Amino acid sequence: MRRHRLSAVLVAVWLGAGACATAPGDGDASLADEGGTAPGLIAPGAGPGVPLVPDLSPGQRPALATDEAGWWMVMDRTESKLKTAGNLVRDEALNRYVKGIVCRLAGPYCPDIRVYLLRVPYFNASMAPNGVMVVWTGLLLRTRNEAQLAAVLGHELGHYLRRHTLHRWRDAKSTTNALIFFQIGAALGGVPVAGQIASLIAMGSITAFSRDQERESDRMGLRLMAEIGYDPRESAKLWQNLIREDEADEDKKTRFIFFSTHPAPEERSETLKRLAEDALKASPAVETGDERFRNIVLPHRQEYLRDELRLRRFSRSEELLKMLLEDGVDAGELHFFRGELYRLRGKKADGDKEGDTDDKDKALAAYAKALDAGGAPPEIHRSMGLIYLKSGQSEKAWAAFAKYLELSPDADDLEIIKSMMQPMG
Amino acid sequence: MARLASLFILALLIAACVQYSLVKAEKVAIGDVYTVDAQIAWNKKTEGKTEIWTVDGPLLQELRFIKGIEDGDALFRGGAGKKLPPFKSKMTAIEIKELFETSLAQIGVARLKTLNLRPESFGKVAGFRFEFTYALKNGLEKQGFALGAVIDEKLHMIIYSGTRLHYYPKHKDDVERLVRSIRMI
Repeated sequence: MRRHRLSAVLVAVWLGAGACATAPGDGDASLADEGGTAPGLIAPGAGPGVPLVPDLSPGQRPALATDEAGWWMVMDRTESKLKTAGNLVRDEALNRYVKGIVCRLAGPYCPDIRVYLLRVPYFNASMAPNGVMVVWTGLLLRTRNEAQLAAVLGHELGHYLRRHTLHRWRDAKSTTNALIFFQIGAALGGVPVAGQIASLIAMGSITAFSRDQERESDRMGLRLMAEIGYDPRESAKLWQNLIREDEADEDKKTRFIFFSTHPAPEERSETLKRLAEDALKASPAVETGDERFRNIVLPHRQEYLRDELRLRRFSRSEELLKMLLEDGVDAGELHFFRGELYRLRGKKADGDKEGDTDDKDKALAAYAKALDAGGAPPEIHRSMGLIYLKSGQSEKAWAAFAKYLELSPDADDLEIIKSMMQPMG
Repeated sequence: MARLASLFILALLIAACVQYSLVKAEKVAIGDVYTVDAQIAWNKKTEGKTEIWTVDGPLLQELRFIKGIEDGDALFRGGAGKKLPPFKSKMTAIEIKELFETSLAQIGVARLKTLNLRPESFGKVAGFRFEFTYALKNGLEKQGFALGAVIDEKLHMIIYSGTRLHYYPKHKDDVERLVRSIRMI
């Protein structure tokens, strides 16, 4: 019974309970690895010391009688739930693409890693000790090219290859953390090791990888990406963009959680840049994989942007859209979503602030840009119609609705749109 | 220690148990705005301005009456840290459907699809209706429909949903008859 309950908590954490990405200390970093969200590097020589156990070899599984096997057992059970998760992304091309990058990074370890894409609109990826890697779609929305995606995937692989979960577990049992560890352990007396592991995960007691482990994974991620020809500088760029998004957030409660569990972001960003330059000297290839990324990931961007806006974290979404626009790819689509953001936020102008305009005017301006750039979905006309309707500009509203129906003659909401156009015939 | 903690949690759970009451298969007033013929017997619980009726349990199927939420109110109860969007009295049916989608996304459902938004009368009032499907995180598929209208600047909705394979179809016809029996008070 207890194991079932714990397993349910575990699955909830992993399958992307929203709280995982916003509530520090909630969940488990080895599962929903908020900590493992952005790559970075440690200064040479500042490594985590002598490892307690050697790295995994390709195809290696732990011996049955070990604590490591206990971890694997718990994760195997969680993995079976992942396979039927409601938010599992089943798009074949996208799965093949991400798995392909993982395989190139992992080399001989490729067959040991299973990748699961989950439709969760936060920036996150996680790595379990049994080789299960979970990637959230909010990450795909924020990485700007294949190299940036590879930077995060490589970082996650680092946790697996260096057996960080096991290190953390054994460290917790043998060092100053023992007190906390055994207090909880005492409450679980008689529960087999797998049950204890699940309990500790559920209680958040072995939650995060240590900062040293994060640094080590950053270093490994960067090495792996550089070795197969990706531009290592993209890693620092991704990190800087995440900082920028976080700083734009008016509601500090929704900040990226890794700011509390990872090395200080600014320092880390600097270290990353410096070490990327060193890596470049060693392997000067600088592929970013822009085209493949655009062909396979960007067709899904509208879905992910809709998910993003539904979070109603408007200030950070506004910054995110601004950054995506800097790439200039599918600008029409991005301006449309900027318009949607302002329409949904619906903030009135602040009378005291000079130059401040109503969100409805901002929305209309963004829609106009979207139409200029081309590539916005037909709903843009429906959205414009709604704004005109609210401002009492009926004729403009009906013209916009008519345009929407002209472009989407089979629209799902055809009847309601027609009914809204009826009063004036 | 562990046993004490378990007992404490159990006591909390019992205290948190909701009381259901019986709704007989007869004419029932929903707030002071309209009546419906319940068609069959239901179990009812109340959460603020919402009544939730069920036959087999709310996780399997539920008939939800949202009784006149006002400007600024959320459609559903959200958990901690959720930013459920507020209803605005000037919203069109399209925006109310968006409100529904955003609210469910915030609550955390997967693969949400809303379908066929169309005008439909709510009793004698001009209203709207749409169908929807979604999946829970564990993969369980749900299906439902929503009927709504803004009456005196307040949003009234009747939302029927249940597991797609059995509990939604089980009482769908009863609910269709129920919504056709709406009479404004």
